[in-house]
Amino acid sequence: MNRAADLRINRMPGITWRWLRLNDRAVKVTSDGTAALPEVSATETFTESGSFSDFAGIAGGSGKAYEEYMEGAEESVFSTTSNKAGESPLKLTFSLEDGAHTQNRYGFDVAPGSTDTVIMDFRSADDATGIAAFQTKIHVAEGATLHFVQIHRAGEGYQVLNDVGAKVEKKGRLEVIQVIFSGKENDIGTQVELLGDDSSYDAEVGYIATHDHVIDLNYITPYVGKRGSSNLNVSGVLCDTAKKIFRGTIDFQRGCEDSTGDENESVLLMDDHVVNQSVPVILCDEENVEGNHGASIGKLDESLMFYLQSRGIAYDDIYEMMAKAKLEAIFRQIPDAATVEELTEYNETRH
Amino acid sequence: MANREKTYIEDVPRDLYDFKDEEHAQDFYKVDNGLTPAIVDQISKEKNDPEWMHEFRLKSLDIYNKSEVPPWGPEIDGLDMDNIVTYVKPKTKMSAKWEDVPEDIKNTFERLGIPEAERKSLAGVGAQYDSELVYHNVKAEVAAQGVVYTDLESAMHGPYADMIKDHFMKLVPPTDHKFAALHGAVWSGGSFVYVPPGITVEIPLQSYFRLNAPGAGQFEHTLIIVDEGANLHFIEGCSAPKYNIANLHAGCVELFVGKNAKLRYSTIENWSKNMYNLNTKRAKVEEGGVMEWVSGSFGSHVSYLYPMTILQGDNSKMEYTGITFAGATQDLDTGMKVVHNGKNTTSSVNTRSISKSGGVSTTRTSVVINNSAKGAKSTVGCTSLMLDEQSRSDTIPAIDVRTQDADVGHEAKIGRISDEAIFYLMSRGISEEDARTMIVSGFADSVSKELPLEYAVEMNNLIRLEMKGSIG
Repeated sequence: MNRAADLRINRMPGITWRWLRLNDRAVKVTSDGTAALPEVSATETFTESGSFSDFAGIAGGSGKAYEEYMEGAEESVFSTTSNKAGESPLKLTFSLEDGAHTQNRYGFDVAPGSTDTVIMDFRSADDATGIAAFQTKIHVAEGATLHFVQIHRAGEGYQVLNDVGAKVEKKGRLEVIQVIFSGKENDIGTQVELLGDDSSYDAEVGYIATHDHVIDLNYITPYVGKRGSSNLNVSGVLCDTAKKIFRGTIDFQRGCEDSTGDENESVLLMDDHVVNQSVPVILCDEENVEGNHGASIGKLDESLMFYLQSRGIAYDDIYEMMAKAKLEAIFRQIPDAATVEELTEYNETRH
Repeated sequence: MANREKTYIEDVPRDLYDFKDEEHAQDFYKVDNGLTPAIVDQISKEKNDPEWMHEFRLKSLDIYNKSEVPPWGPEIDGLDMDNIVTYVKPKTKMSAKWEDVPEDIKNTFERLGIPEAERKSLAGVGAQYDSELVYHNVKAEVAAQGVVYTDLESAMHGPYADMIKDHFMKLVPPTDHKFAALHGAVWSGGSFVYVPPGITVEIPLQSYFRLNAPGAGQFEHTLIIVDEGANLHFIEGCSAPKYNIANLHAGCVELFVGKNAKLRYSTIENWSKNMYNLNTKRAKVEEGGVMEWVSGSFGSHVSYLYPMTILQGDNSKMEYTGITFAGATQDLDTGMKVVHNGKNTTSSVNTRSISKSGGVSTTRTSVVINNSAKGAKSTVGCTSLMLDEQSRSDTIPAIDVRTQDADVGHEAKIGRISDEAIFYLMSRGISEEDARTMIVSGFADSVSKELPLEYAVEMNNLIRLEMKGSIG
C-alpha cells in the first residue's frame, strides 16, 4: 500500500527563533509498503527474537510524527544472551534498490553484562533514487555495552531517514559511530536516554556532503540516572552547495547528579555557497553537573594551507585530502577490521 | 561524591528600588486599561503626533492584533493586556532644571542617585517617570559640539523631524514580533540622540526609566544616530517598585552607527519582579563602525531581551558583554543576535548567567554570517552558573554560516561553584557566604569592568544583595 506524508521531524526539545528556520525539518515521504531486505551476517551472540513492542517506551530523535509514520513497517528484533561478548559483529547490509520507497524497523536488546557490535550499512548504486525510512530502537541492559555503527552511502538521488532511540540502564554503555558519505538527503535523529546510574554514551559522527545534498542531524541526550556521561563529536565537510544542520541537545534532568556531558563540532567549509547551521543546546535542571560545548566552523587554517602548499601539494588536493582524513578519523574507530578496510578503500576511491 | 549540606535563607528585601510613590489621580493623566483603536487615537492626540505617526500607530495595532505570542520563550500568560494601562503621564512639563521637577518625582530619582551621577560622571541625563520624560538636560559644552540629546516627541516637531521619520522603527519594524507591534502602537517617551560627524562625547549620556504606576506599561523609544567618525557612550538604567499585579515594559532601542563611528550602549536593568520585560534593541553598523553592548539583567519577572546587531558595512565590529542574574520567581531569557553582511566583519560575544533560588536563566544567541560577509570572524562564549538545585539554566545558541570564508568559534559551559574553590577560600578564614559572593562577583567581573566605576559598583551591590542569605 502506498503511503505519503508531510512530516516535521528532528525537532529540538528547546526551540529558538523561528526566523532561523532550524527548530525542525519539514520532509515529504512516501512508502510503497515494502521493506528493504538486508544481508544479515551470522553471529554467535545475536538471535532474531523478541517483539518490537518491547521497545515502546523508547523514543527516537526524529520525533512523534516519524514514529507514527513508521507504524506498520516491517519489524525485526535481535537479542543477545547475558554476560557474553560477541566476537564478530552483527552486520546488516542494505542494498537499496533504485526507485524503492521502503520502511524498516529494528530492535536490538542487549542483555545484562554482554558486549556486542551492530553494523548497519545503507548503500545503493551511485545513480539510484528512492526513499529509505529506518527506525532503530536499542535497549542496553545493566552492565552491557553495545558498539552501534551506521554507514550512510546511498546514491545521489536517495533520501535516507534514520531514527534511532536508545535507553541505557545502570552501568550500561552505548558507543555510536555514524558515517555519512553524502547522498541526496540524510535525516538522522538520535535520542539516547541515560536512564541508569553510571550509564554512558559516546557518539562519533562524520559526514561529507557534496552537490546540493542535505544532511539534517538531531541528537538528544536526556540524563536521568546519576553519574551519567556522554561525549558527542560531530565532524564533517561541506562542499559545493551542500547544506547541513546539526542540533545537539544535552538535557540534564533534575536528579542526574554528578553527570557530565560534552559536545564538540568541527565543520570544514570547502566551497563558497555551502550552508552550515548548528544549534548546540544545553538544558540544565540539575545543579551538580557539568556541560560543555565547543564548535569550530570555517575553512582550513591558513598556516596549515601554507605549509602543505610549500610542500608542493595543490590547493584542491589539500582540501580533498583533509576531507577524506576527517571521515577516516571517524570510521577507523569501528571495532571491525574488515569494515574499516572496506571503508578505507571506499573513501579513497569515491569522488 | 559526598553529599553536600545545604541551608537556604530568604533574600533580603530590595528597598533601594522597591519604594513606591503614591500616585494621586489629580497629578496624573492616564488612559483606560486595555488596547483599542480609541485608546491609540487618544494617546496619539495627547502627544500631538504628526499624521504619519498617527497612521503608523494604527497600522501597528492592526499588526499586533494579527500576531501570535512567540512559542519559544518563557510563559507570559500572567500578562493580560486588558488590564494594562498603556499611557500614564505625570501632569508636569519636561524640564531642563532639576528644581522644576515636582517634589515627589524628584525624590524618587534622588533616592536612585540620578542627580548625583549627573553631577559626577555624565554629559547629560534624561529621566522618564511612567510614560513621559520629566527631566532632560545636556551639559552646555556637549550641546555646543552640536550633540542633540532630547525627548523624541519634541524632536519630531523640530529641525530633526525628517531624520526621525526616516529612522523611526526602520530597524525594528512593527512586523518584527508581536511586542514590537505593540510598541509601535502605544510608544511614548524615550530619547533622541544625534552626534554629528567627527564628534567624540567624552563622558556618557544616560537615560533612566522609572515605572511607578501599578498595572501600567512603559513603552519608551530610544533613537540614537552616531554620525560618521563620531563616538558616544550611552547608559540606560531602569527600575520599578514591586506590585502584586503585572507591569509591562516593551521599549524599543534603535541605534545607527555611522562609518568609522563608535557607540557603546550600557544597560543596568533592575525592574521589579512583577515586570514583564519584552524589550527590543537593535543596531546597524556601517563601514568601519564599532558597536559595543554591555548588559546587566537583574530584575523583572519575565524577560525577553536580545540586543541585535547588523554588521552592514565592511570591517565593522561588534562586542557584546552580558550578565544575567535570575533569582526566585524570575524567568530571564536573554542573549544577543548578530548578522554579518559586510566583508571582514567581526563579532565577539561573552555572556555569563547565574541562577539561584528557583530562578530560570536562558541564554539564547544567534550568529548569522551571510554569503556577502567574506572574511567574517565570530567568537561566542556562554558560561552559566547554577547556585542550587531549585534553579534552571539553559543555553540555546544558533550558528548559521553561508560562506566558506568565515571563521566561527563557539564555547558554552554550564556548571556549579566548585566545592574546592569554596573550601580554599574558607580555609583562608572567609565565611562560606562571602566566599560564594566573591566567586560570583569574580564570575561577573568581565561585565562590571566594562562599566564606568559608579555603575560597576551598583552592579556589584546588586549581586551582593541577591547573594545575601544564599548559603547552598
